[in-house]
Amino acid sequence: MNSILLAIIAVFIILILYDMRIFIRNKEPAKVYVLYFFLMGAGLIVSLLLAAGIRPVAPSRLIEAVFKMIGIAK
Amino acid sequence: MTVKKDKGRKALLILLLIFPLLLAGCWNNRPLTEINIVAGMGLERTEDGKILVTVQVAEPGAIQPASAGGGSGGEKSKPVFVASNEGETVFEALRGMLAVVDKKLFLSTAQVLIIGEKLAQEGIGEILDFFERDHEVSYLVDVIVAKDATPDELLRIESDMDTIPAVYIRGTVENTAARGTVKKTLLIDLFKDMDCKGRQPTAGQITKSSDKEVRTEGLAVFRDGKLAGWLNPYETRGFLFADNELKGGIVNVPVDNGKAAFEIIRSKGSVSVEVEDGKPSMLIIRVNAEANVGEYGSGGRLDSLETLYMLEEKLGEEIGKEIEMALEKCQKEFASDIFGFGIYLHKYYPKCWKEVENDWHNIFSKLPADIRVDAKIMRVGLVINPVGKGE
Amino acid sequence: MGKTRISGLQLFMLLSGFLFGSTVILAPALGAKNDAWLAIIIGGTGGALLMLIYAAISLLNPSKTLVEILKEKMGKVLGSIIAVLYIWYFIHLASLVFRDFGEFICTVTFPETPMTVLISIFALGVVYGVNGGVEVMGRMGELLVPIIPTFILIVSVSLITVNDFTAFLPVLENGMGPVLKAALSYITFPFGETVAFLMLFPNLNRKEKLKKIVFVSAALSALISIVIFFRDISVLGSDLMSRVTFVPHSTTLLFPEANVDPLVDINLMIGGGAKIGVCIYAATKAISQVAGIENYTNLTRAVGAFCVVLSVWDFENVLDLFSWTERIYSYYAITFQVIIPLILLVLSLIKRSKPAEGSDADNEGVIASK
Repeated sequence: MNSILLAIIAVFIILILYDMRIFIRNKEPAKVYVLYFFLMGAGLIVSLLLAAGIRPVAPSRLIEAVFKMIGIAK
Repeated sequence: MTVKKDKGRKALLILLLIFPLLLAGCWNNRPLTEINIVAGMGLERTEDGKILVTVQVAEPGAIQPASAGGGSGGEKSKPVFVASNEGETVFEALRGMLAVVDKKLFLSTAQVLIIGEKLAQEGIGEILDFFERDHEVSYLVDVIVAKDATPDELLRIESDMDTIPAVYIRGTVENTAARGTVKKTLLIDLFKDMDCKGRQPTAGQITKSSDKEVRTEGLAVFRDGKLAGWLNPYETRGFLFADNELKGGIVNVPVDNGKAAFEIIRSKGSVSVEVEDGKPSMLIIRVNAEANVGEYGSGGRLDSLETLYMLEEKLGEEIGKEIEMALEKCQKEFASDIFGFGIYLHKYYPKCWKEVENDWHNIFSKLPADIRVDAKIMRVGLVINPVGKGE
Repeated sequence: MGKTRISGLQLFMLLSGFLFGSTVILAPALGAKNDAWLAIIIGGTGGALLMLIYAAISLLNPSKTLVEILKEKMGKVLGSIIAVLYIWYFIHLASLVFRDFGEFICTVTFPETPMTVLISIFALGVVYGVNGGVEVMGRMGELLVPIIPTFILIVSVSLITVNDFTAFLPVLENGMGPVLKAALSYITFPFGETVAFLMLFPNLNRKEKLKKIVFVSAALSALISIVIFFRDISVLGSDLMSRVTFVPHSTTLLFPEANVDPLVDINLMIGGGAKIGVCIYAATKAISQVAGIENYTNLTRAVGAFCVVLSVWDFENVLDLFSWTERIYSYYAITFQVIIPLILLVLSLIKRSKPAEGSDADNEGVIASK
């Protein structure tokens, strides 16, 4: 289990470092960093939770709930 | 700057070229030396209701043509070994086998799957599910049902003809199928018919004829997934004529003072059902066969068209008789529609089929049949008149 | 540094690859059983119409991507909100295709490889392609997509001997109900999903060809689906066909004397790759246009990584995936595929934009900085 967590963190760190290099070189504006870390952070947190055996409510379930609330889907 | 970028690109390109290798190399790749190549499988129900799985494994090293040295020990190692194991489910029994054999079993290479008589009588539906579901089993395995012998015995025979008995068995199935006295049944055929109400599954029959030989002739008829009974070779051929599966065969016809033999070259069969007032009223079988004269020693002169027409008629009658025998047995004894009349009804009279669907076994077994065979004799061979009948 | 352009042929190939996408492994309109061919014809017609609507929207707003059209026609705030919803839809769509891909490979080819690993490695390739820009994707499509119908043809022709050509009878055994339902699901999957191409249409070099391209690729896709359906039902029979998980794969298992399974895998990688690539491109492009970022390639890796995580996160198992797609997906998709585009079409017809002003302002957003 721990090795999986480590592997995920390693993969994300490699990806982030790779992109940071490019961002710094190109002097990207702050909003790029914000969006980037929002997406990457969400991905990292969810994948860590998944690896730890906790499954956060899936988006598809939420969508299903919304449609059930409106009363379209059964 | 650009040079550096190029270098980075190259590195990435090389990395990407390595990934396909990862994809091709399975997570759990197994070299040939670390698997047992399964040549044949057998399934049987034991006395206490468990499933006995038997596998015949080929040893590639021993199959190679006798090497010049003749081996170090002098004694030739056996080309195959047979192992069996029982379990509550097929999968458990198969995996449990690993306690007995040294390497993992590789099922894709299996040539035949022999189903024991007892198991067949109790129903094969549940057993087949594993073979349907598992990604490793080939859907094109030959399925045969053992009569008066267990699959275990059959897989343990040591044939003189082929070093691997399973290959020998498959060979005999192919030969007999070409003669029209056994139906070559693939696993997929069983899957298709198993769930279909309009047609009951059938499979070839295998018996043990001596310590070293098997005999594959005849047909196992199923009903609702359970073995209902057997058709003899002639009835099997009749069924194949109607089912449009006949590849060839020798049909004997009584002539003046003995029998003449005709070789079937081509045959086209079709089944249909006549519907009157929304109810099925008649089973119809039509066969068009083409044949050559194969043996005519006991007949008279053959150089007139009238004789030929007469022979055609007789041949048609003979084929018709075989079909009638098969149909009657299926109707009266097994109440099992192996011909697929139900499928015909379903396709062309869906409303009528909805009504009879659930009682089809009974309705089918009471329907009268109209069998018509149109036989044509095309050629007479290298001589026209037999010995002693020339002018 | 001009605007990145793709040729008509490239767009056609990309569009066709997108349409083949997951339908290479999941036979469409199976809900209609024996009448699936009817559902494909009805759904294909509807799908082609829907795609022509997308083309019309794009032609009415030349050189504008979906996000820009939304912002212009619906106002900055509402337009941006809907654009964000679209971004979510594209990401979700990519993750669904990833999951289909992963489940197929895990069931059929590599049962013991963890699905996450398979998807991640596949994603690396796709994201690399997307980073190359629209031109690279177009060229990839041009090169690879023709392989799909070739392989389908090879398998179909070789199986002609084991066919039962009347297997699709009886016609309309259960009435029109299931057929129409299946036709609707066939419109949403895969035709409606081409809404993602609204982010890509502005890159076409010759606008006058757009309608023709869209129509021909929709027709081709429906035609091939029909061929696949008749092949599968002739080979498997309707009873078995309604039980198997991946219909086209089970059909190739019956290929005599050879294992042609890799052909299906290759088709899946090409079709799925085109589909995921377009979705990720559309999502990333939309994000950067909403946020006003110049170079979209900055975010592709992040979006790709998120898609991979989402694909694993979204469903617990394969049945969960199938049942959700069957029950919910049509409704979910119609919002994005039909309702909003129709509103956009009406709005575009009412107040036609002035292309001269718009295209100049937009050029900057489209340039992939090199």
